[in-house]
Amino acid sequence: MSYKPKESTLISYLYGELDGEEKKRLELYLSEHPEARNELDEMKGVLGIMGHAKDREVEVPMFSFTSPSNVIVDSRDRGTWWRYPLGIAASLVLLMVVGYLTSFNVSSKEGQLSIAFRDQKDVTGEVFTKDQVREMITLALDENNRLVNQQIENTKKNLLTQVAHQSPVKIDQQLLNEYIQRLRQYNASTMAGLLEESEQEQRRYTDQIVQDLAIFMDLQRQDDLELIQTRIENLSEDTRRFNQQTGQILTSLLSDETQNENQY
Amino acid sequence: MQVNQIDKNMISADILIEKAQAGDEQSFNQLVNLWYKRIYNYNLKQCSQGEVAADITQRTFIAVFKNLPKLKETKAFRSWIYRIATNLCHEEGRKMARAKTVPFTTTKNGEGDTIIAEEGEAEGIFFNPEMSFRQIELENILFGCLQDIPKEQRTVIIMKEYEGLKFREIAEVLHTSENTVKTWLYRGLKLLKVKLEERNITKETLSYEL
Repeated sequence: MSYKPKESTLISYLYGELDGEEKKRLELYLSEHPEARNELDEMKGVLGIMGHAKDREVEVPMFSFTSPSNVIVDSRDRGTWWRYPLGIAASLVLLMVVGYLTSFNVSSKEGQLSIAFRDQKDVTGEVFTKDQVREMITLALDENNRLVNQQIENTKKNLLTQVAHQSPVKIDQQLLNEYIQRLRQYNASTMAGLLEESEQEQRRYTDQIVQDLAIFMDLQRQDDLELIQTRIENLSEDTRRFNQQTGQILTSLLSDETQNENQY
Repeated sequence: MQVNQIDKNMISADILIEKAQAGDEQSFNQLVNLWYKRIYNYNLKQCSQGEVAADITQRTFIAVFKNLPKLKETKAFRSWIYRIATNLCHEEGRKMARAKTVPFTTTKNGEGDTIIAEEGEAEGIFFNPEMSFRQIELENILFGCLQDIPKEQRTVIIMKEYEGLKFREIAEVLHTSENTVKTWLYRGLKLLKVKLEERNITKETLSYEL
């Protein structure tokens, strides 16, 4: 009865997922069909080449959303270099348009800088002296200080009144105990959940390690077997050569002996 | 102590999914942090172009957000997110096949021939100077070869070899049987070997060059 493994069976074997009778049957088939064994080895080679590709780093954007239909992605890596100069240029154009529409006017005259919308107004007659300006600032500051002090005083009074009328806080011992109890229960259940998750994760991890080890051991065994086979072949080749050489030497000795006898 | 030794992120993933389902923006962004690199690299191997992969990855997470409330089993999140990414990659592949665009990462040399751009130009701020030219060249060839094989076979190879999914999980994502997945993988690897050989990439040349 001729047996030919399916492609899916070969893949199962390649990934170490085959066991029992089917594995033995396939291994027998592979030992009888070196071309199939060779094909599997080549696939291992392809997997080895693929292993050279590493994950690339990527900047993770922030997602923000107001509703499922409105998702905004703040992604710095998607930006391109021309966006910034273009933004600045657009801002300048906008400022110029606004300046034009509002007749924005800046001028300097006799050491004075004038900024105005529409026409400039002559303000030369309304110039204040240094002392007048100082006096105005002092007056404004005094008024401001007076108002601030008044506000502080009022707030202080209010606070003192509130403190005087407030009764001391009483803590209900029973409520506190209940709260602590609930907190303990919550902590205990959280810890139990975490430990359970941890155990499952470790079990999965251990399974994976065992599986990997099995694949590794299988590959190692195959390599060892191939090495032993090569050594045995070399040894038998050496033995064959040795026998051949011994035969040649014996033949040569016999022919020499025969020649010597003929001479006598 | 045991809890400290394992990946806390994965433990809290289910909680994050539940919170994100309830509309918690912070939890959703934590979920994005947990999965973004994985999905980006998956998409990159599917389409071999960094810009397109980044675009598909963003669309994947937008689709995840929109459809997350419909996900009944939080345990099925892994298969579910890969299914969304795979569908978007295949959709993009169809669009690109119709448009026949020249990749953004190509450039012209002095003689006017189109050549693949250097990684630094292609990847912008993510260029890692320690990554050797040979490594990048090999990845470009490998990803290019993956584009040359049928999409089902390519998807199975990437999911199994790079994403570490089990055959059962891949079958769930692709709505097929485990045996079909294994058959696709076998044929895909066989074809990939031929494509790599056409570009003179074998185990032997690789050990010589790298």
